[in-house]
Amino acid sequence: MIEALSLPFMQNAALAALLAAVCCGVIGTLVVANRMVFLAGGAAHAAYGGVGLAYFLALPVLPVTVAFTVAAALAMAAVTLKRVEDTDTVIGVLWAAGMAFGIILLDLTPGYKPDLMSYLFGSIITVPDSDLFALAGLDVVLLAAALRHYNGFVSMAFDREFAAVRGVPVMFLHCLLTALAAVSVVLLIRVAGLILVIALLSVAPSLAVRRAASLGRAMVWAGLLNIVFCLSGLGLAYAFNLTSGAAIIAVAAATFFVSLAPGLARRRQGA
Amino acid sequence: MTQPVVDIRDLTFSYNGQAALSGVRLAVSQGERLAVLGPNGGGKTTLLKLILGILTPSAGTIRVFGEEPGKRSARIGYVPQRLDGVAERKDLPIRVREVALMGLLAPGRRGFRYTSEEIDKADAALARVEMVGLAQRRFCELSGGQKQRTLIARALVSDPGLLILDEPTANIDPQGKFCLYEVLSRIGEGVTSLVVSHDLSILAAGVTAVACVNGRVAYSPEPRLSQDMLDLLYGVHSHTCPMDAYLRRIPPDLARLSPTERP
Repeated sequence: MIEALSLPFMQNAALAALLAAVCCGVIGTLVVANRMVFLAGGAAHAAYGGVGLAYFLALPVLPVTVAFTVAAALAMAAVTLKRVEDTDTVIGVLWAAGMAFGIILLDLTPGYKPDLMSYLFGSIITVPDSDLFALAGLDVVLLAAALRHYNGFVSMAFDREFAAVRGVPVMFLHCLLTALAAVSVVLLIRVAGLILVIALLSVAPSLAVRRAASLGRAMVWAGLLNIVFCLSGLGLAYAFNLTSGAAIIAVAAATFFVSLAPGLARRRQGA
Repeated sequence: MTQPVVDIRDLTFSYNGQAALSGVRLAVSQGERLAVLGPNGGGKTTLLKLILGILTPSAGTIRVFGEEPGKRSARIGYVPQRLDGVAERKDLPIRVREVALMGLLAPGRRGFRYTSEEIDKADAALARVEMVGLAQRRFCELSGGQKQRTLIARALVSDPGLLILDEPTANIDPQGKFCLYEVLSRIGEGVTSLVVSHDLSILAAGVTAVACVNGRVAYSPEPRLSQDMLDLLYGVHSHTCPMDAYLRRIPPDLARLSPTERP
């Protein structure tokens, strides 16, 4: 691995992994605590609609995808905030519709069409410098938002109704969190791919949330765990010539299932 | 004459075109401890949510401390009927002290640190409900009664003028219920409280007035139920129920006994 890090593309990959880990540690913990993983997954799939729209209209992909995904995520957030019981259905429909919309638009686009598989797993080892700058900027924005609204996010995660009664701007924070998750998803899909984004947003934060003493510490632990997952996954990918995104997910998933073992054993002993 | 803390006039509220509450008039004075009784679905929680400004009336007016609901949230302590599912999660890393501190949140508050004065206030509120020893425990690891007491501490931390509790005994055992009643009876005399319950033993918890809610509201300025209130609570069957004991206030020691042990 040390030898691999002497290669420029691996240095970029490791830096991308670190920046993605910080981003997913912060936003992923808030998403997990507020039970919005499905919403973030919906936004990630709706991003395909943005990609399709950008190619169809021959516009720059990143701004169009960000705008489309944020709009789709805010639509999901608005519906789910008012009608909590419809959350699964609404997100499920928008999830599928966004993806179908993108694929149809790509089908209708004449000439060059991107390989959608590259959006599924991404390519962390071919990350350009511009994406690294974008990720660094995103990390700064996420950390600033988390610090500024930390108590509001915590109270919203704990008891949304009480937070609203105390004057916490619950609707604003819900939309802010949704929009930040959507922007994170779009930027990370380019780097890490759709499947890895969902894994980074959910696996490490859910492990950290279960054991940390506070939500703030859970963010730190989730970031550190994501760094470990990404670097060890990259090491495995380099050593065994595997797809990097899939190797990272394999490490994260293996850790998740191993962490469940003590609890399952205790339950079996108790039964 | 002093202004009522809660002043409701000709209030109507409808869900999907169906009236849940109609023609409600209610004035709650300062220091009054009002038990709000009623059957499930009768509109008790709806009435509280209207007072809190979570819901908006279809018609009529509500004034809380002389202003529209929601304007004076800093003076109101609120204990919800149940947490909305999220806080009941077993894995949410939020400690008891953090929960109490949430009662100090206010519009426009930024940042992530609480001051030492705020932490002292939270600990004092936890001490009032005998929970300060568990301040560092995760909320999700507490028993039902301990959770309820923590939520009362969260409501008390801002020294509210109006305390609103929605079914505070709903999910706790009889022992926990009477511990809770003792806690409520120790709350300062100047504090106005509204305690929603469908458990008539609340009448033994030091309340000074009763309001029965079932589509409309019947009010009594003393802790006893009139025949009209029983009709409102139990409908056409009330005259067949042996409810005479509840027509007068139940002595606290009697209320501690189970119904079969009562004379």
